[in-house]
Amino acid sequence: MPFLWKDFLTRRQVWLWIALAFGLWIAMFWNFFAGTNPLTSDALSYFEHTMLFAKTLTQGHFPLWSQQWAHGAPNQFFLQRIGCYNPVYEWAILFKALGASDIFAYLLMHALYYFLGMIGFFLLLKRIYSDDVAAFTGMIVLFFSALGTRMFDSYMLIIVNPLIWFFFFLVAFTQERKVHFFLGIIVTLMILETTYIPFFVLTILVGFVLVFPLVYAAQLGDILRGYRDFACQHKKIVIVGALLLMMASVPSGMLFQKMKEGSMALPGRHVTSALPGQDDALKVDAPARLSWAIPEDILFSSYFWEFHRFRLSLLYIPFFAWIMVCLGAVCGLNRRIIFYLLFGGLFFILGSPFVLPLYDFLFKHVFYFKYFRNLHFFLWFLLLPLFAVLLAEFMHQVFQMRQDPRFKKTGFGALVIVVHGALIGFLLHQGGWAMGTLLTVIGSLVFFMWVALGRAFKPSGLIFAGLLLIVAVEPFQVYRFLVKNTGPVVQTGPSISRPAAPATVSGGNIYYGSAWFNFLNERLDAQTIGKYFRYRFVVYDDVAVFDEKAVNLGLLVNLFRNEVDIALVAPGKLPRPNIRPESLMKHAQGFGDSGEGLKVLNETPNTIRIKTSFPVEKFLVYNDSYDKDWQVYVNGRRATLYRANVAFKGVWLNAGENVVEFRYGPFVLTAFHVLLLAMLNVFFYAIGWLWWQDSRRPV
Amino acid sequence: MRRILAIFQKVWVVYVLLAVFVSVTFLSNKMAFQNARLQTLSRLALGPEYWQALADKHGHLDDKMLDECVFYHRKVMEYVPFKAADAWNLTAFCYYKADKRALAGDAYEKAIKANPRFFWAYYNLGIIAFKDKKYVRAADMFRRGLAVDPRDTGEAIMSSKVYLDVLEAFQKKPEHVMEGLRAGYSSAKEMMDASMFCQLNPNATICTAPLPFDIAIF
Repeated sequence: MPFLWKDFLTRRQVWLWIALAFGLWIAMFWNFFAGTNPLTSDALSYFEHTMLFAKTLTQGHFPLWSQQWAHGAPNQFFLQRIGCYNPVYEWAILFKALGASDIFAYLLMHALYYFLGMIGFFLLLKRIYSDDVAAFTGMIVLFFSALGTRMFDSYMLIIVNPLIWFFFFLVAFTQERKVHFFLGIIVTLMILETTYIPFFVLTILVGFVLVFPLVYAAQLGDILRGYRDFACQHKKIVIVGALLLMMASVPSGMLFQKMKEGSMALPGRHVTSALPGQDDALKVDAPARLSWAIPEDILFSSYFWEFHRFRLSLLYIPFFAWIMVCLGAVCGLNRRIIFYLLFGGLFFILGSPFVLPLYDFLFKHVFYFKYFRNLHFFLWFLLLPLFAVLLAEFMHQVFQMRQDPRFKKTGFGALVIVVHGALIGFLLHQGGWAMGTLLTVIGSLVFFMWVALGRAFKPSGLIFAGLLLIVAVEPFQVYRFLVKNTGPVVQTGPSISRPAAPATVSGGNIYYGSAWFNFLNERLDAQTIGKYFRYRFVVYDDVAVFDEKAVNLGLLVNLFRNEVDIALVAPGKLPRPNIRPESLMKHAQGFGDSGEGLKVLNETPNTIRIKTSFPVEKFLVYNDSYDKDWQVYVNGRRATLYRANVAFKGVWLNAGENVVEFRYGPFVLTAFHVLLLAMLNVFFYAIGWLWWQDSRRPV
Repeated sequence: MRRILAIFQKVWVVYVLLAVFVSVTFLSNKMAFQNARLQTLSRLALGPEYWQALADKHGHLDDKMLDECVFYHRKVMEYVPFKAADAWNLTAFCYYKADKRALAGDAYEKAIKANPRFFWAYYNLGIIAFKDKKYVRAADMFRRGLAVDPRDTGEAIMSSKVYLDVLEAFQKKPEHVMEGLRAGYSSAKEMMDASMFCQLNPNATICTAPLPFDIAIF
């Protein structure tokens, strides 16, 4: 069927207004895109990890190890955090290839992803209400809320976007059991499984599964029968979907397992005095768990309602939403509203530990509640979008009332005047309100008076334009304050793009690293650590066993500070058990990337090849964290890799020339990650293609 | 009957129920709610750049920083009413550093009203009055400040989280508090004498030259 512009401009003009809304949003936050305003907090580290990942991918490597972080750490933690398998990251690669700066490429990718999320939200609302005006209202309220600003200081959108699309595909699939909707459910679940800590999403999904049957018990049978029929008709697709979901759960499972081994440390989440290998780093301590929840987030955000102090990390919803809440009081109570309130109420209670002890109960009885904190995230992931859905419901009912022949114009008009008058009175009483807020109220008054008293009408450009103007006028002012108040961030620590020079690594806490490196970092002083890390490689004539159960810090300090020619290795089989006395009097030899006797031939994130040439047998220590998934090959043959100097990698070298290669992870692991990335990409775009094909089919 | 039922099948009923639920929740969890407020307050606390500006003798607060300082201490007064005196004292200090002496004076008056046994409020108000050439008032403030037992002031500072945070930000140790008080009392005596002198000889050099002392937190 040919694409008809006239048809698009008249019947589908809501898309023009959505596109305009996107343009307005970019204009509001252009300072961030231009690099004038910096990213802050978590957004900064996510930006760095994402662009490093993108850069490494373009070089043909899947970075399973991060050399820059805390002197080496498995990168799976960061890859999981950013959701590295998400196909949208390739957009950043594309923008970079077109000449964009790192920050512009990253933010443009994120902005487009956010827009895609909002399109998903609009389509979800359309599915629920079959009403462009209601869908548009809900969408622009959410779009201009502070949710979008979280891309500049957090990472929430990488979860919110696929979550919105998941619910869209779920609703669409329930209404029309089509293959591309089913694949959409699978792909969004895969993205959610492989992003950050999937327990937030798991909890939301479980909550949905519990609440939905309570409200829609009568329809549940038909829905499940429909799913069953689809499964019977499309067995292969369902099996493929199940396999893909299982495949997507592997990275999280591997990370979980790695953390449980105790080989990694996350001191900020979990303070431990246990020896490495004895604790689960992913578990969250009580203070970290409960220090900030939903009430705190709402209360804190309320301090900034005067807007001139507005900054990032604050909850903000356009004032129009509160007008809709007031008008919604006269809307009929139906099943949908009850569902939204129950579903939202459950998570409000869960995210507010002092309201009811639901969180405490789940923490005690559900294992994975020990692995996440930041309860206020439920406010952003679920409650805010659900609130926008509720507003769409109110708008839908208002317009439905308007279409009803029994509609009482004067009654509704009086209600509109009372509500708006009361809100203006409230604003005047409070003082300190923004001009945008007043304009919103006035604009809304005009809009709803026209709805109340005008003739019957169909959705038109005038309605969408009016709604966009009314909703966006206040955020336009609020975000001008935000841009003005977002000052330059002062970086005090090392980061991916600025790895710490050896001398600057001191006894300050690390965020994430190998448990043994953390052990060293917490116990040794800055001078000792700084002196030791002058060299990337250290070559010793002798080794001694290091007793893990009785750590002799004095000995460690002595050996490190004086660069004594004895390396310490973890207990194990040693070729030469006795230390030669002369080693105590000599210094070890230190190297950077090259020196007399040692040269780095090449390196990738997961490998490093060096050439050595020493006249006698030597023990080489590579000052990159030890991990059991590292292997070492000397002249092409697998050799024993020792945990040396407490936390690093060590290997014996025979006299003469040797080519030493350190490799992280078996090939199968890398191949699996690449396969998962490829599968997600294929299905991501396949959904779009199938959907396009389906839309062109005659009805 | 149907009409009456229809009235109750509206969303406003949910609003009423929610309002009841929220009220009951907050009334029965006052302590938890107060803890939540204090958590948010700690996030509002002023950052190091403020204290650097305040610690520096020539430091200056711009309008934005002043607004944040005043806002934060206003919230302290709201959430921790028994710390109002501390909050007013620090608010006054912020006003002074933003070159708003009149507002600083008003704030110190409120601090004295909230806690009449805090030396520094009188001292600082005396300095401000002297700079404004209100020598009678200045002498009175210094006299009243000298009448306060220094132990009361020391205790007030050491038992106040607000002040201890400031102490930490200024990189001062607890012993600096009593040292500061000793110096302050000595200065207050000198300033009281100077104020009384200047009442009689307002054009004397001592009354017109720049003051060797300035206001202080501790």
